[in-house]
Amino acid sequence: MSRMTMVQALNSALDVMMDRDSSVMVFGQDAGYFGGVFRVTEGLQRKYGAERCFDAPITEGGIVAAAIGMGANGLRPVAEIQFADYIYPAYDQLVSEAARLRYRSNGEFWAPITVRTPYGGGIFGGQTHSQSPEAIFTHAPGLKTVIPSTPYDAKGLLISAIEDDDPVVFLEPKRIYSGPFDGRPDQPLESWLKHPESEVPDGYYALPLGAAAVRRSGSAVTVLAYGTMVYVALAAATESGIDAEIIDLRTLVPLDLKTIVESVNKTGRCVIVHEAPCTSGFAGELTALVQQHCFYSLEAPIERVTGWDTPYPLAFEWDYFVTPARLVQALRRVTLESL
Amino acid sequence: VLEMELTEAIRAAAREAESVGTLGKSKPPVGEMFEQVYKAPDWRLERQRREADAQ
Repeated sequence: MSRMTMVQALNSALDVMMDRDSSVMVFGQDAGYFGGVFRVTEGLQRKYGAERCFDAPITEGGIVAAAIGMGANGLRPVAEIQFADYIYPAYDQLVSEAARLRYRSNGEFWAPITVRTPYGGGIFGGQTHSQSPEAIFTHAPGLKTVIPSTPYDAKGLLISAIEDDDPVVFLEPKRIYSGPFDGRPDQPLESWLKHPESEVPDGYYALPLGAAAVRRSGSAVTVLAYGTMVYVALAAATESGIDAEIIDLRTLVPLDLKTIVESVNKTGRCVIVHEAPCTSGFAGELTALVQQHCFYSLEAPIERVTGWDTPYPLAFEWDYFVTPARLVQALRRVTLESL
Repeated sequence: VLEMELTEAIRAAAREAESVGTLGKSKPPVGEMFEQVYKAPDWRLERQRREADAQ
């Protein structure tokens, strides 16, 4: 067991899997010699050689296309897209090829690939380094979408993603690569190394895809969150004094509907939070599911607290990024005002 | 001389850019975040702009 940041935990997952399985390959822009812009692949090329960990040209579509071909021919590639904001050229390969290969070939071929990519805001990255495009992947049948929020989860989920026989888009919330962040930029930075969730086994372990985690038990309202927003939700619960149950979804597809339904049926109220813009965001899907499965338990309308329907703004970063203050308002609307 | 002039021009531009927004003291009104998304904002942006203004 070691104390790890999320970056170190992800690096450890790749190291463990490359050591266990010679079919695991790691590649992407600057992922080889340099070790990745966020250092997630650091040291892997030195340890496993340039044939198993290598740099790719700046062609996101080509990176994913190569991964699909490798996967269909027996390898387990882990491709890195340097920022999720640059994944759109690869969307056609992900949706039209990776997601459908099994279906189109009636199970004769499949793409056991993992596409890792840092996503999300809060890093002064502006519109080209801050986006949260998770919803577009959940909309493509055949793809799985994973978002960890702790070092421990990051390693266990990445190992599961690599071992999965279906294509997995693994979105890494880069604002919490080095430490948890609760949406208050005026507060001192916190390191993972003092956080209990930074205790990470050095060797192999896997966390199942499709299992949410209850980060805080409560009885007044259920908050559905993932990625950095888990810490914003925890801060909002503390700040408001409202006894919120905070569920970290961890994987959007497959979704742990059972945990969500049990919680909302218990609390009777639901607030959903994500960084991505509101319209057609994943909160819309969650709202529909909660309404369908918990209708007779709901005591108040379901609330969404999300990014605005604008491009991610550099100058207005902290007006755009969901803060505990915005979430507290929603918690109060669905609890106090509905009593 | 040209190098010095260009360096100073770049520094001045950087100072001007950094004087607004989250890095500076003269932050523009938050409502400007919703401008130029479309030629004319739809009801969603109008509603969200009101909500952001009220924060």
